[in-house]
Amino acid sequence: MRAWRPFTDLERLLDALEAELLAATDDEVKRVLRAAPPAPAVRDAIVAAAWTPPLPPERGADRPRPGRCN
Amino acid sequence: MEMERSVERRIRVEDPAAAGQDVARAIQTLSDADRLRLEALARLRAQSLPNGFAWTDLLHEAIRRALEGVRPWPPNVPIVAFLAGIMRSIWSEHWRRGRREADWLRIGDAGGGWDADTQEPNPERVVAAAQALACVYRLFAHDGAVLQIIAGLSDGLTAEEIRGRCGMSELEYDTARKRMRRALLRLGLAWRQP
Repeated sequence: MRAWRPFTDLERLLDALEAELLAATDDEVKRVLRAAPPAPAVRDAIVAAAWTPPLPPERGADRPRPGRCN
Repeated sequence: MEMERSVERRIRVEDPAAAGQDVARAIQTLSDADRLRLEALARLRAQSLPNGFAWTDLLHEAIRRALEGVRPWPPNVPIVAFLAGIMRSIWSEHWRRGRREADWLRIGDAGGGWDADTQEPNPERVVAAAQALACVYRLFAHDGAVLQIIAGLSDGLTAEEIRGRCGMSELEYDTARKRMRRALLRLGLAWRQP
């Protein structure tokens, strides 16, 4: 019987579950989304949150950054 | 077309600013399905991090590293898989840092022989990992077949070995895996709950 190593087990399990999530087909994901459609106000929260970190500087002219409200 | 993009991306790997713009564009145009995948991935990792690391912190840190070119985005890797890989690295760093701090507190300056890479488990780390494991198991507490699969995955077994150990047919295994994926994706929807 192998020794109980919770951290190793956890790491392996999370990697396997991550692979499952990445392998989920668009149809599977859409079915879950249909069952609980996101409210319009929060639907873009991920993208909005994504823009919170600083963006790398653009090269060349001072063009507006993508994702910012202009 | 795909090949042209791939060549362009290979060139941009050498240029962090341009690579950051590629990442920014890819994030901006994420589909609803990919956003849900990404959020479920962030929540899954974050809920097993000690010291209350929020899933948004984990996601932001991954995006920041990607945008700044700390981690170059390899050609032919989907953006969600790329960000998932960065979150995995952050998760590992966080656990390693926690272990070092716990060791330092335990041994202190007098320890002398402290080794950051020691594989010796400390009690705090064992308890935190066990709690995190229990947290993942709780997600599937209602589904015996999925729990068996989870146990097999954490033991490092292959699909065939899990089926053999649990006496599952291929169809039963695949059906249970689908339920498992749905439960994981619903984790990504948890933010809509009050």
